[in-house]
Amino acid sequence: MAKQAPANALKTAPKKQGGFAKWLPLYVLMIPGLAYLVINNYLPMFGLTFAFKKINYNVGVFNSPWCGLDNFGFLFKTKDAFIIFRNTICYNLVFILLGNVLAIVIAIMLEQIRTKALKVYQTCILIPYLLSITVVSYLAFAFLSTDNGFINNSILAPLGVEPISWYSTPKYWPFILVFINLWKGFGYSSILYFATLIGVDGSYYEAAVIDGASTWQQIKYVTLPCLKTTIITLVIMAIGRMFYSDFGLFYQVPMNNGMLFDVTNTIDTYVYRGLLQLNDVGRSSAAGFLQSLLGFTLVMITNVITRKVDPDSALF
Amino acid sequence: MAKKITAVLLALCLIVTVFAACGGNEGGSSSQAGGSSSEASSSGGESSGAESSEANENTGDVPTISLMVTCGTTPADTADVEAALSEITREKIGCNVELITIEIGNASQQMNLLLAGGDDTLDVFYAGIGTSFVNVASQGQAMELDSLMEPYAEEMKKALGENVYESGRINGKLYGIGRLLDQASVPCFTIRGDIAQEFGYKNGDKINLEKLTKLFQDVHDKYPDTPIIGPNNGSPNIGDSRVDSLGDGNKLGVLGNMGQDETVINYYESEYYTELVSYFKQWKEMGVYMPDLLNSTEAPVDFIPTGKCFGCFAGHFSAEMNGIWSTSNFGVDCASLQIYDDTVAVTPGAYGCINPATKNPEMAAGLLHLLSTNADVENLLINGIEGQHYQVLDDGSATYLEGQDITSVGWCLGYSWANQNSTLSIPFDYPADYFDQLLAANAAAKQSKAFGCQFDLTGVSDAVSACTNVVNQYANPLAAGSVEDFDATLKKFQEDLKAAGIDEIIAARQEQLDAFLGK
Repeated sequence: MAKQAPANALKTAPKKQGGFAKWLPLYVLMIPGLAYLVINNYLPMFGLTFAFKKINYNVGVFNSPWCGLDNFGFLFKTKDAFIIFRNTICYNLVFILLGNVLAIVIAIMLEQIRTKALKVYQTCILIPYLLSITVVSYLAFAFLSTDNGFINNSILAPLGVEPISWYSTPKYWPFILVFINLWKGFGYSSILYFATLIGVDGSYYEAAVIDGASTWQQIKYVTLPCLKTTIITLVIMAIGRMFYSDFGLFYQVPMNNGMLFDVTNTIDTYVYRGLLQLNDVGRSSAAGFLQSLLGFTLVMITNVITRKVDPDSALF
Repeated sequence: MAKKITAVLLALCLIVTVFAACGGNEGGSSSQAGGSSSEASSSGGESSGAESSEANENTGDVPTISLMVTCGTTPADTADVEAALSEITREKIGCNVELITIEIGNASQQMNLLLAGGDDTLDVFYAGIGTSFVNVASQGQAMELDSLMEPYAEEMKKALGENVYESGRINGKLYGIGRLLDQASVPCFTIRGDIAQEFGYKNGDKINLEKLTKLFQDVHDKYPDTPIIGPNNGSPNIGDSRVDSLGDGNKLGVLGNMGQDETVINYYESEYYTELVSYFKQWKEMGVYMPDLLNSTEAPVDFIPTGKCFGCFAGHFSAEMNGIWSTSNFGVDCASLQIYDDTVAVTPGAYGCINPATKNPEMAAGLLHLLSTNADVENLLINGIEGQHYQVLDDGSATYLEGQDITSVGWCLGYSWANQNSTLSIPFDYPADYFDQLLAANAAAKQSKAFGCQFDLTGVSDAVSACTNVVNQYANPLAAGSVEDFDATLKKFQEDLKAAGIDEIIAARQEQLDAFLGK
């Protein structure tokens, strides 16, 4: 409660002192960030109108004629529509679920390590996150290539198993892509959780130990509840990106191989492949617009549900 | 409470980073655009600086026209070539020329940005390199040229050929000047020279699919460990010169019978394609494909000399010339065997256009005229400056200076195809009569009925993007022999194309072709 007092003071103080002037330095500090936000995130929103226009550069993009929802049609044109939405959503669900579980486990493990090796581990798990996806795709190729690949030559061959033609067998790819995504992302997200964990007051654990809690019980009753807000925040943020996919992961890593489209085609890659040659600004904006709209809706719904269940954890 | 505040802060922080990340792409690309335009303006500044001193000597201000130059990587000596070119253009049309280099790998994105802004950063450009001519014209990014080009029309028709000049018409209006290049490409198979010789073939020989399969079998029997078909540009790249693909690499609607038919057909259901697929199947069963061909990152220049794979498919107006080119580029003797007997001449793939935002349309038109007719201008743009970038040999062909090669030379050699009229230039590392042969091959090829017909598919663009995705999915895996069941895959391919609306595209093309033929 002692901590709450200053917070209350902050809330009431400005009224008494007519405090805009008092907070002026803080507002000034805010200007660069605000300017960045407006220029980078709000001004481009004009572009959303492109989604409803038939662009003609001769009269300028703003004077181009409106065309209603025509630009959205191509996304639903074929039976691919089902596949690309299914792939995008299902992969994201798996990524969110497994990604967070793995990150939390790693964060807890890191937290338990009290040696100097911690820095080394932290660096090691972050390296995959820092690799360019193109590099990752060639790493994958080094493992999976049919004639020179590590798996076929050094693992399957000694075991007497026939080499597998990875790049022409779709059934393996959901696992390969999930594995690569987890491997690439777990370092970064576990650091986020780890940052929350080191902020947890050590006296909770001391109290738990005195009460005779085992390590497992400490994790269950102290660590996880402390992480709850962070988990919910990160998950809601991830849900907002539900209709986007990591273009590099789904395009570069399978090397744009037609044989694998059934399991690797997502909204982003479909739009890219379909519109690359057409240079059609209107329809690519339409796809982006739809993705953001659906993502936004999902975030709002999730937040409403969260607020119902646990008001403290809701984002807004 | 503190926890809650941290949580909110963390959330805010995340929101900002997430938005920053997704905004990042746009920011990146726009800054790229800014980068290139600022680059353009700064080099413009340089040239205007250089100009001003000369302007004092001459009279008044000399305007600058910018011209697109396609390159692999931005060359070092752009300013030198620019200066040399401006010397000619100041005299002929009274302007300086600024060269805007477009790296071929980024051409799509870069052109999109350069043309979308409505800026006049690019006065004269080639539509069809990284863009589509019809789209550029229908989106209002190319100026109508009829009246502008009128003073030059006769001379340019003579230089380029009337059919090429007229091919830039859409709905009767001239939007671009057709590029003069090889109009007919023959698919050929390039194989290591010693292997070809061993089995009784030499460079430039004709062969058909049946004999080619026999050759594959013979080579494979003798050298069972070496695959024969490798990738070229990431895929098998087997062309089919028996049809006119109507300017669409994905062959969504073609003219059969060497482009002599007047009915647009579905290539993927035609005998041409089913026959090819039956050969793909045979080749796969014989085991002559390079494993994982579609995923291989190696180019013929890597695998042919090292003996990792014997050959690959290629396309050229002459198989013999392709063999000569391969021999000089791969560093090992190569033979190219021509697969189909006849060739069909099709509509040019790129057009010299003028940006409607240009401040000096007359001068831009003058520049297009020079590009089409002036050998000095074209040679400068294609081969660079004599003594600095190339030397002329006794036989009249050009080659690198002593000690220079493609990596060290200061100009973007090898992009003659990206110019208006490369036949005016000195052949580089080809026989001196190379361009005569090219023109002869154009003349000898059967001219497609659809030559000069520009198809506008914006009305069926949903079907085009859907079908493009379908072709991407099936065509290369079939051609690369990386499917298990060819018949089932082909059937599925055809069904998916139907579902994606290929019939709409064919109908649209048919309608436009009928209008073009005056039916």
